[in-house]
This record gives sequence, structure tokens and C-alpha cells, in this order.
Amino acid sequence: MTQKIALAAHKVVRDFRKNKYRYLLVLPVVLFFLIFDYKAMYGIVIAFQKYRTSAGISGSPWVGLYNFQRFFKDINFWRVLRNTFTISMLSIVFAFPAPILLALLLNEVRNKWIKRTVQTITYMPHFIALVIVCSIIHSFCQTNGAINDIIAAFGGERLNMLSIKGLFYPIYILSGIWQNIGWDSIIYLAALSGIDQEQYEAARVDGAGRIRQMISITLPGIMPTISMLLVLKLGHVLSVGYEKILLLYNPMTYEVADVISTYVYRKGMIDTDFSYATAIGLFNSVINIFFLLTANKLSKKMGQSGLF
Amino acid sequence: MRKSLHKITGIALSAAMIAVLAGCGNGGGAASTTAAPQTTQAATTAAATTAAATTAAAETTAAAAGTEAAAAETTAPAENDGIHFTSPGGITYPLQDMPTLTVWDGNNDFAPANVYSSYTESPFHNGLVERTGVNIEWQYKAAGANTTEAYNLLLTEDVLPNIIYKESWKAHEGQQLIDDGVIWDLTDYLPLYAPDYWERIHRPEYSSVLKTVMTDQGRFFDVATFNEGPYNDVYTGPVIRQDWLDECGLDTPVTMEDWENVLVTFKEKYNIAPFSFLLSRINTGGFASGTGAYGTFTARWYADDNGKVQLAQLQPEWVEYMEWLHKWYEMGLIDKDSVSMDEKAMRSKVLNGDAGVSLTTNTQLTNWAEDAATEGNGAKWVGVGYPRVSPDQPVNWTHIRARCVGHGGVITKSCSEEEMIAALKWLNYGYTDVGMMYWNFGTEGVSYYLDEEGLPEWTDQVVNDPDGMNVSTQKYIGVWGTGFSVQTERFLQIRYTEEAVQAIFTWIEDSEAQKHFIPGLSLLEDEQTLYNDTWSMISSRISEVAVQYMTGDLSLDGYDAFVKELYDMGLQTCQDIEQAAYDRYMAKQ
Repeated sequence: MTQKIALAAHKVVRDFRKNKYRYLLVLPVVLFFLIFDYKAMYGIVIAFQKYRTSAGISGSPWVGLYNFQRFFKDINFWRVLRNTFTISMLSIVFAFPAPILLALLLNEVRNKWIKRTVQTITYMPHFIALVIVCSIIHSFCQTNGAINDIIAAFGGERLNMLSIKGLFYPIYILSGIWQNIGWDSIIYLAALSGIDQEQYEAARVDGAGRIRQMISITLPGIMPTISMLLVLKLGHVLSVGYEKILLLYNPMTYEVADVISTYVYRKGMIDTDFSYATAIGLFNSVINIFFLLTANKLSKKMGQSGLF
Repeated sequence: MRKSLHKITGIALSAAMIAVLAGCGNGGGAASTTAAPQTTQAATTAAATTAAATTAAAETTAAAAGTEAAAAETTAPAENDGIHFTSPGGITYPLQDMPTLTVWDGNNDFAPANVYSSYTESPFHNGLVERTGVNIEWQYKAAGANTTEAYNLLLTEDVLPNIIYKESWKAHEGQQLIDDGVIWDLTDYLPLYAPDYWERIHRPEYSSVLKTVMTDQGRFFDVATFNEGPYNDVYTGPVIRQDWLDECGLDTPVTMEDWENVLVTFKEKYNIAPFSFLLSRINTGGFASGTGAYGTFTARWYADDNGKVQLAQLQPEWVEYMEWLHKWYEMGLIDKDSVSMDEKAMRSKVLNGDAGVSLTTNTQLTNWAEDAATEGNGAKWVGVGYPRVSPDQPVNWTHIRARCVGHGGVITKSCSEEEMIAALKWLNYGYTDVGMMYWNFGTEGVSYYLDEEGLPEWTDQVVNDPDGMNVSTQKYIGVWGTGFSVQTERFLQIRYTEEAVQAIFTWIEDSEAQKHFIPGLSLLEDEQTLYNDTWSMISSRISEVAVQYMTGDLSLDGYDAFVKELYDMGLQTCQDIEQAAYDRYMAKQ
């Protein structure tokens, strides 16, 4: 037993000597996570307290699971949970495949110049700040905005599109696709460039058409990347970002747009109910981990690579 | 092999992307929160020892030092330079041998005019040092940071600044800080070391201020800043295009029927949905007074004629008000963008002539007037009185705020007793008549002069400043937002354009709103828990449903069921707590 430990220790030391510069390189990243993620995790305890900033973590009274009970009894509980799932699922179904499709299409383009131009143009929206994107959306959707101009030109009625419940998800998802399709496709394009060209030649000799090649060679070739990103995405299923929703919703659309993160924001930052907000956030994270692990397992079962 | 290579590139790439994304997401927040407090305590503690003996400075030195002190006393009033004086409360300014104090400003109300890179260049800040004899190290929150957030972060610091200034202090919050040993209980010190402040908050016209700053236990935790009179109570109200009104040959509308007539005429003539507003502006007062209601979409407590606390949204007048709004919405008189617009969008609508009636602030009204002048489109926006049930009745409700909204400074336990006393004397300055003039108008002969009636007027130097009035006033005065002083009515009246000044006069005309208005109340500890849990749910439910009554997404037929839903959520408990708190508030004196 001791021998085994000594052997392992020896191995570690030897590995460290051999790769010391690599360890040095990774150090800042490790420190980053330790300081900003792990150290901050200590704050989770306030979910079980009635926290007051003036009393601090050590001085605030403990209340057990009180904050969680409050959340489950909260009239907004089912609503924010339902909306979060809906938005997440919609973006997995529609927004997730979009960059894959773009990458596949770009891959078929033989003209380098066109390919690059399209890539650059589709990247660009990614670099626009979210606030600006949302104010563009606002002005497009206003009654005197561009979309309504088109509707009116065909004789339709002008609507304030952001005040209509049924249009919130389409606006949210489509603008998300527009903003991120180019950027998200980079990783697939990188994977595509790694596919052995000989396979295509062999397929062509065997008489496979373009579509056939795409289905039988290209897609399997990038499948590991797709499944890995899907696993990551599923790990965030309950983490719909609050910024964009906060910038787009209004009292008319709260019912479909209010999600866990916006609720946490309102509770924590506006009502300064820190303990409650932390409890909701913790609940959120636990569900996320559950999804991440499940998806990872499934991915492995189906013969694809998992994260761990 | 190839497959594993893919895997590695995949992981590396996605890790990189995640890192980049995480960086983007957190960057702004982290930077803004860490930037705020930079306490340098050394100076304060060093100076503290010298200040120890100066608690009753003026009197003792006068008695002991004979001729010198007597000379100083006689020269002070003789010079009459507006700098050397002894206040009615008996504090002589400038103060002598004072420690340097740190003041954290959570609202950036005391930020120097934006043409200066630091407060050390600002005439107002330097003048204040000269007049009070106290060096202040100002700390501002990072621009754009949320005040509450910045304040809560500040409290987690090991060493707090000497004075913490922010908005919306609640008395129970102050009491809690006293109990936690974070701040000084000022009750016994205020009458001695801030006598002029003490005297002023005990004047009958400021009884509401006194009630707001005193805790339920009868303690005083801060030096509050407040407003002088009715003119400061209101800054939002109905506005209209006077030029259109004239063009259509219509009189200024008074009742809801008049308003409807104006809106219909505007719609037909200019082919727009004329009534356009921001939710945040209609919520505060809106057209509620047109039916005798007390609020629009935001849940609102008010005191009825018998001193009973009522919820605006439960009254029949409110239902009638919603019926009006719904009718106007259906008729296309209300701009559909109103529910989702922001200030910029509103301003561009106004500029493009897409609005004829709105609700806005005097500041925005000034901006709109400037836009119209630049564009030369002839638009003339003016304030109009709040709607009335009938022309001969007073206005029961308007946009309204308390004389003391809750702005103020607390003195933390980072101060020794001597430093706390020094801080009180410094804070007291703005509540002396001389100090109030300085905070409101700056220096006589530089930023203001007294006209024939003895009222302050800006000098040409301020009016013709190339940086514009917004900046030029801020160079010399301290009550731009609110100060450690009293914001005077006169200040507002010479601060804004003619239209904006007139607008407020129309908004406060015949108003009884102050009688019904309930300021932020102080709650007991067990009440807070109960109230916070249920009230935030109820109020957000109300504001959500109410808007939909206007748009017709929800029918008012379901109103009774909605009221029942509110009671099921615990409305009665909230009302009882609010009533109890209000009774305690009224009993304070």
C-alpha cells in the first residue's frame, strides 16, 4: 500500500519535472477558478440564512430550508420554471442546429472568397453589445418600425410586437440565431477541416453524391463536437441569461418571459432579498448539474464522447 | 487517433469559448463593484487626536483667550463675508482644527461637474472646505452602478467610510444598523452638535421629515436631506402640445371628457395615436385624478380622509379609470408602444411629432423644448393641470414625493466620538441660513446675485457658460440632486426653463395629494419578514394585470376574481401591517 502511494507520488513528481512549463501555463487558469468560482462558493451558505449585509455571513441568523420552502410556495415558481424550460428547449431545438447547418452549407461552398465573406458577415452581430442588439430589436418591433412598415405595406395592421405574448419566443429565438449563428459555427468549421479528404475521394469513386457524402462522412466526422456541445448546452438548460430578457420584456409579456434568472435578479438586486435569491440560484444550479450528468451519460451510452 | 484529436480540439475550443463568454459576462459587473470604496483611513486617524479638545471650540476659547478671541468675534459679523459667522445654534464657521473626513456618496449627488476630473478642481467642493474648515475625501460609486448594490457591497468592507450617504434610508434600516453597531446613534448628539439641523427638522412645516427620520424607538440615525416646500413635491405630470391645441381651437382640458375630446381631435387631425407615455411616468400619478382614483398600474397605498390606509387598486374609482384607459386604447388614442418604450424612444417620438399628449418630468420637458428649438418644428410642449372629476373640484391625486424621500448621511463607527462630533458640525453647515444659500446658489457675486426683491438669481457667468446650465450650476452648487442641506423652491424655479417651471405650478395647483400620500414606512422586524414575503408578490401581480386591463388582454369582467386572488395571496395581512406602521408614523412627534 505505502509502496503504491510512494510510486504514485514519484510519478507525479516526475511528471511535474518533465512538464513544469505546462504546469506554469495552466496556473493562472487554476487560480482564476479557485478565486472567482470556488472561493465565491462559500457564499452559498447565505441561502440557509436570513442574511443582512450589516451583520455579515457570520452574524446572520440561520433559517434552515426556509428560503427554499418560500420558493416552492411562491406563486411565480411554476411560471418561471415553465418559461425557463420552454425558452431553453426552444433554443436547443431551433438555435442549436442553426450553426451546424451554416457550417455544413459553408463547407460545400467551393469559392473561397464567397465563403470568407459570408463567414465575416455572419460573425459580425456577435460583437455587438447585447444592449445595442436589444435596442435594435425594440426599434424594429415598434409600431413605426421596419417590420411593421412591411406588414403595413401588405395592408396589415401595425402592432407593437414586443407587447404580444405569442411573439415573444419567436423574437427572442430568431434574434438569438441572428446574433450567434456565425460565431457558433466556427467550432464546427474547425471540426470539418479535420475530416480526412481521402474519405470523400473514396466516396466519390464509389459514386456517392454530395448529399450522400454529407450524411455519411461529414456529419459522422463532426458528431463528437456536436454531442459535446449539446452536453454543455444541456448543462445550462435552466440558465437562460437574464440580460436579454430583462431588456426585452415588459408587463405585457412577463407571463411568458419571466425566467428564473430574471426572477433572481429582481429578488436579489431590486428587493435585496439576498438569501432568497441565493436559494433560488442554488436550486437552479442543482437542476443544471443533474441535466449535465444525465446528458453526459446518455452521450457516452450512444457511443459518443462525453465530457468526463 | 484522429477521433481523439478531434476530441481534444473540441474541448480546447469550447473551453476557450466558455472562458471568453464568462469574461464578457462578468467583466462589467466586477469592475464596477470593486472600484467604489478606496478608503484611506490614515489621514483621518492622524488628525483625530488634534481634534479631541475642540468639541465646544468657540465658547471655551472665547472665554479663555480674552482679547484675541473677542477680536475674532467682533470681526466675524463685521466682515460679513458670508464665510465667517456663528450660526443661531452657536456653531462658529469655519470650524477650527478639524479632522479629514471620508464621505461615501452612493448616489453621486455630490459628484463634481463633469468638466472637472476630480472634486479637488471643483469650485463648489473647494468652497465648502474653505467655509466649513473641514477637508472631505469624497468617494463616489462607479458610474452606472446600482446604488443598493454598491451600498450592500460597501457594508461588507472591513473599514467603512466616516459618512455614508445614499437614497431611501428607512427608519427601521437605520435602527437595525444602530443595533448591529455599524453606525452611531445620533439622538443625544444632534441637539448639541448639529443644533441648526435639529431646529429645522422640528419646525411644524417639516413634521413629515421628522416622522420619516425618527425610528419607531424614537432614535435618530442620520442627518437627512430634504426639500423646502410644495414646489419640490412634484416633478412629473401631464403635458400637451400647446401649438396643436391652439391650431385645433381647443381649450385646455380639465375633465376626462375634455381630454378624450382633445385626443380624438388630435388623432383625426394629425393621424397619430396622440397619447404616448412611459409606464414609469404614468405609474406615479397618471390620469387617476380624472376619476378620483389614487394610482395607475403600480400598487399604491394611500391614506383616505379618515386616515385609513387603502389600496388604490381596490377602489371603484380605479376600475372606472381603467375603463377610460381601455376605451382610449381601443379607440387608438393611446400609443401601443407605450408599454415597452424607453426614454430615448419616447424622445424621438416627441421630436418626430408622433405624440401630442404625454406625462413627463420637468427635466424631460426642458429636453423636449430644446429638441424642438433645434429642429425648428414649432412644437410647444407645456404642462397642464392633472385631470379633475369636475372643474370645481380639487385634484385628489398627482405624482407626489415626500418632503424627505430618505436621502441622508449616517455616521459610521469608523469614527471616534470626536470625529463623529466633527462630522455632525460639518453636516450642520448646510442647515444654517448661510450654509443653505451656499449649497443652493453658490457664492454671491460669482454664481448668484440678489435681485430687487432679495431673491437669488444666477449671474451671467452661470447663464452664459459655454458648458451649458446643467454643468455651470453644478460647478457652484451642491443641491443638484439633493445636498446635505435643504433643496429650496427658489433653486428649482431658477434652474429650469420657463415652460418647465410653469409646468410644476400647474401640476401642484389645487392638489390634495400630499394629504393622501404615504411615504416609505418603518416596519418592525417581524412585520418586515411577513410583508416582504407577500407584498412583493402582490405588487408585481397588480402591475402586471393592471396594464392588461388597459390593453384589453384581460377583461375587467374578471376584476372580482382578481381581487379575490389578491386576498388569497395575503393582501389583508399587508394592509394591516401598513396600517399599523402608518399609525405609528402619525403618532411620532
